[in-house]
Amino acid sequence: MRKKVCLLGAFAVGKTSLVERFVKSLFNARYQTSLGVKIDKKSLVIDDQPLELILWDLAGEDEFVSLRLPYLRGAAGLLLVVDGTRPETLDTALMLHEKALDEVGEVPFVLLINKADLAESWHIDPRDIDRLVARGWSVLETSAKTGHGVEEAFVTLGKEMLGAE
Amino acid sequence: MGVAPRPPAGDEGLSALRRLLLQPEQRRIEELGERLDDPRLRARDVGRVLPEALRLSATESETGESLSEALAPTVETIIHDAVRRDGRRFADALYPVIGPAIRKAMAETLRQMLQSLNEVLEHSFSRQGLMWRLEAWRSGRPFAEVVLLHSLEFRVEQVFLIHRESGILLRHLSAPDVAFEDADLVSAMLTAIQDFMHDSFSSAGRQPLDGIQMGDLTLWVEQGPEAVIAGAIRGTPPEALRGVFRRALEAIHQTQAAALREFHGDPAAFETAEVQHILEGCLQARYRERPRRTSPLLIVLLLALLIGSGYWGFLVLREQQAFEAYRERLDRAPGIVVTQAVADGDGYRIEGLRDPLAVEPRSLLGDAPLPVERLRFRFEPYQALVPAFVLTRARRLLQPPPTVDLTLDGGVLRLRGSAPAAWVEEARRLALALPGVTALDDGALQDPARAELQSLRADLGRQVIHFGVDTPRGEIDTPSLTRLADDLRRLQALAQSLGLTPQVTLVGHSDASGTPARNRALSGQRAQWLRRQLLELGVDPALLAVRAAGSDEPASDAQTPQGRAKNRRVTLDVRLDGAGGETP
Ligand SMILES: Nc1nc2c(ncn2[C@@H]2O[C@H](COP(=O)(O)OP(=O)(O)O)[C@@H](O)[C@H]2O)c(=O)[nH]1
Ligand SMILES: [Mg+2]
Repeated sequence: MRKKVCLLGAFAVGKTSLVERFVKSLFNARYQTSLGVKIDKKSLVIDDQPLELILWDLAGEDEFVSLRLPYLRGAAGLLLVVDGTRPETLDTALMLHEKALDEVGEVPFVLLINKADLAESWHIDPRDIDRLVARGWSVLETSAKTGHGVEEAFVTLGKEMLGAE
Repeated sequence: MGVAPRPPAGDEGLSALRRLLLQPEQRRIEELGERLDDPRLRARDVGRVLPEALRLSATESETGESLSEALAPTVETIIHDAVRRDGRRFADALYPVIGPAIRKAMAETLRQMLQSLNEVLEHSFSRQGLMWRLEAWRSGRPFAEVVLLHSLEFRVEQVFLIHRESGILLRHLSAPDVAFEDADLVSAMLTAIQDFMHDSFSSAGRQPLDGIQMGDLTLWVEQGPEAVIAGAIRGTPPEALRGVFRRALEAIHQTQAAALREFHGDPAAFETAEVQHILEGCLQARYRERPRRTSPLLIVLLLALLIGSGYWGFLVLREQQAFEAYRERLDRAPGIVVTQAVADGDGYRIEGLRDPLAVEPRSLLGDAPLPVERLRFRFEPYQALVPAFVLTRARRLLQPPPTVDLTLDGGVLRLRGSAPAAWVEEARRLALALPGVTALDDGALQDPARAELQSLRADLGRQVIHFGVDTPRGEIDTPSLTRLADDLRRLQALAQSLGLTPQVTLVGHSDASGTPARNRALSGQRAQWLRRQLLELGVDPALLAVRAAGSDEPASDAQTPQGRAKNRRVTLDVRLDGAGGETP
């Protein structure tokens, strides 16, 4: 199976770093800033089933750059990335998720609270997270710096995508 | 704007005069008034002078600035209104200006993306492409020129069938000798570029991207509602190829409609022979037939080359044959074994074994057409068992006296002739150490001392000293007597050197013309006489014995005087006594 996966999140939450943790990038990504996307590929085997993830690392949304919605088309899964040290990035992630829902409909997604290595300076209200979990969301803590939870994040999404068929 | 003053009424005469005088002016003033009152006429007039007026004021800088200042708000309003009313038309009008500007900005963005894409695509190594690239690099010519030289018009090296929405690769084919990986990434990147282009140009009403030029590769994209076909093409594809791509895409949509609609990431649905067949139709290539005019000069050159190489080939062949013959000659030469003889670099290398006694290899060259200076020999020394060499080595080792004749007979070294015992003894010891000698036969070899002794003995045995009638004095001259004494002394010395004891008996004889007693006495006297002579000449008395034979042992039948004379004589009887008795 080949699945397109989009990484969404505010600027500098660690999307590119997460991908780099996860795959060994073959090609330079100089085009990303202007084109707004960087593409990589990772092969997984989930429950004996081969799965190829085509990872679209979309430029983050901020006051200067807005998400290029067409890039979301055909995505089979989403990774919403939040920077644990910046609570406002959770709002951005939720907002982007809304936009993605309009564009691609209900597809499996996982919310990643990144920079777990800086957990002591996290400022996200745990109750916000609890509420999301209560709604059935998959929420994982990751650190692109230490690699903690990264593989698990992609595998979790992979499983959800395969299960969604 | 004034009006001509009206004259007071009543003053008819003055009026008439004034009319007379001023009528032309009056008319003119009225005309002007009309003109100024009629906006149409006024506009026409202003229209006539306005361009000139604008031109004039534009060249004078102070007024020019104020003019543009004055005009700016109006122009802005006009443009604003125009865009609001009919933006499309305005965009069309502006497109030639703005289009290039946008494209220039886009080009930079795309360049970066393409560079990455190029890196991916350039991982496709077609054997031919690599050869040409190498050639371009070697010759310093641009790659494209090399491609042209090889008359490639175009070649579709890869075809991508892409799910349009997700950019996921459904199927990828490449030309036979093109190795390629990461078609997945190319597919997604292409789709991203498409999205980007579409997004950026849609307001300008442009078609989505349908081709990208990257160096010598062209990436063609054909869009369908569900799928996209992209081709990586080397060379310059003809427009007609578009039709091929389009028909292939249509066929895909027709035959794979359900699979495309239900696609959820499993490309296996497109791993069919049907899809393969459709896409293979896109893998086209065309090579231009280059007209071949053969110039006469080229023919002459080719002929010269042919003749030259023919002669050269002849020389090479002749040398090879000569070398082969030489090698055989060498191999046949006694004491030379050739183990390897090969052409080596610009010369020849010959290796093997060579007996130091064998001929010098170069001496076998004769007048063979071989380059002596380019022959290299490497012979290990060894001892050949060729009889001639064994004999030569035997001669060198044994150093036989000239009286000895050596022959080799199947490993047996035979010695003939005579040689001193000491030498023979040494030879017996050494000969068997010679390779190729298994036995020594010295049965036919004699000791020279013994040989001399034998011949001396035989000589002495033949000696006869004659006597006159009835006299005990011999008829022998002094030199003969001296020689006899010398021989006897030599005999004794030789015999003693050989460990023998010599005994020489002088036997006296008489003829039969007297009494036996008298004859015996006379024969005895004759022997005694000779003994005395010899003793006087220094012969060892112990050597010489005497015997009186009388007339009992005649040498002749004594019927004639000559016969009787023969019987009057002394002979020598030589005995050699060794350890084991008398020797011959
Ligand atoms: N400490 C820490 N820093 C991180 C982590 N992930 C990303 N960063 C840093 O955050 C910055 C932004 O990361 P980047 O991946 O470019 O974010 P993007 O804009 O979402 O792609 C970089 O300086 C990263 O080194 C993490 O897990 N821990
Ligand atoms: Mg990034």
